[in-house]
Amino acid sequence: MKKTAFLTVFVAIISFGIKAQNSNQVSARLSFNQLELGYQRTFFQQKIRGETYVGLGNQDINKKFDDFVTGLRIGTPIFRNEKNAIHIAAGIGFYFSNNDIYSVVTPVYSGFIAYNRFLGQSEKHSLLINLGYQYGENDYKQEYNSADIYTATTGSFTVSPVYFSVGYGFHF
Amino acid sequence: MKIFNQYLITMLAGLVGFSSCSKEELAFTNGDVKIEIETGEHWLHDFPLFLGISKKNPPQFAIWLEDTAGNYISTVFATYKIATEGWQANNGNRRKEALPYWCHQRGVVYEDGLMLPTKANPLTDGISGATPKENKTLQLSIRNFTEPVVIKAEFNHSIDFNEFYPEDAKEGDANYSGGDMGSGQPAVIYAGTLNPGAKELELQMIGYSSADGTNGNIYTDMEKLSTAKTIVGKIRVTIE
Repeated sequence: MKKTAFLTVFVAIISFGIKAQNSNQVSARLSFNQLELGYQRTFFQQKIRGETYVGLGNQDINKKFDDFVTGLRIGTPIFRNEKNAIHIAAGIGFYFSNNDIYSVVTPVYSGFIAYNRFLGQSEKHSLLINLGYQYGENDYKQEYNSADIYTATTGSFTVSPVYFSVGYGFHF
Repeated sequence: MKIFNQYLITMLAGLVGFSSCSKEELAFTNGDVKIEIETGEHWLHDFPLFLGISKKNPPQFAIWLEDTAGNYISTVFATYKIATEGWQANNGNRRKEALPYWCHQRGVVYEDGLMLPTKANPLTDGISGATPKENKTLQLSIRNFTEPVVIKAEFNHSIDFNEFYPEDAKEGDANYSGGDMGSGQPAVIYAGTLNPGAKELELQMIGYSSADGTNGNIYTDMEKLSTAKTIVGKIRVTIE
């Protein structure tokens, strides 16, 4: 729980503490298992973009959108024209399960293609589509103790390997 | 920029730390009982989702202890859905036909008159856990293990229909198993008596449960079952 709080505060500081400037983007993305809010900025004459995100997931055993996700993504453009941009990107992050059955923090690694479709003439708004692969797996242990028995077992939490999200980005 | 770099370093350091200590293992000590469930050919069963897409579902199951007189002692493990009424989109169907023998042996009647744990009152004894897609190992220590105990297990797939338990059987028919989202083939039951001082034991299939979940009887005319008989490969019990 302390780790969750630490990362939440840290990401929030980053998201709100940086001065607004061009080449920044805030976004909201929705996938089958995740809802994310992200902050992105570009570096090195827009050749590299970095993004932090926080969000909710529903991949643990209770299937409720009450798990916490956070992470960092870095990408580079492979195509760009007036209305479209395509990046390849890699990500690292954490998935914090939240249920009554087990507790596990799972590191998640991802690689994906990100497509931006700029809307309107000002390039302030864009449609975001990400498609890729992610890997996250971690073991956990469960125990039960009573006057009659002690029992224990292990399980494994796995993040869905397919990552597909659709979202909206605001550039400033 | 500086704070962004610090964040990156923090994330990387955290990931390295987590990745290096992610393996959880059971620590058996002298006298502990190891229960190993080996999956069978039909451990995973196609469950339709939509538009012809299906997913491979593992079975619901429970493992529990009784004394040799048939008195329930404790659940060791029960799958999450049956233990917490954790079904997705079940439209109120409590699936009483899922593991009726275990339910009746426990003998706990809930507010709706059924013997299944509810969302409000989930199972409180034993471990409730995710249904494994592969072999499962449990560590068990029995307090005051001076008398023989009976280890029992019950396994069930939903919509596992066959010619004896068809989808179109009507409520009241002998082969009715809960309708189109019911069990199909009823739950299969395994049991074995573990004596103090024994070294190993393999649970044997002793029958199957009530198809519609209305009683806690064991039925032994196994020829009515087909794929249900190979949900489980083997259940091996060893004393460390």
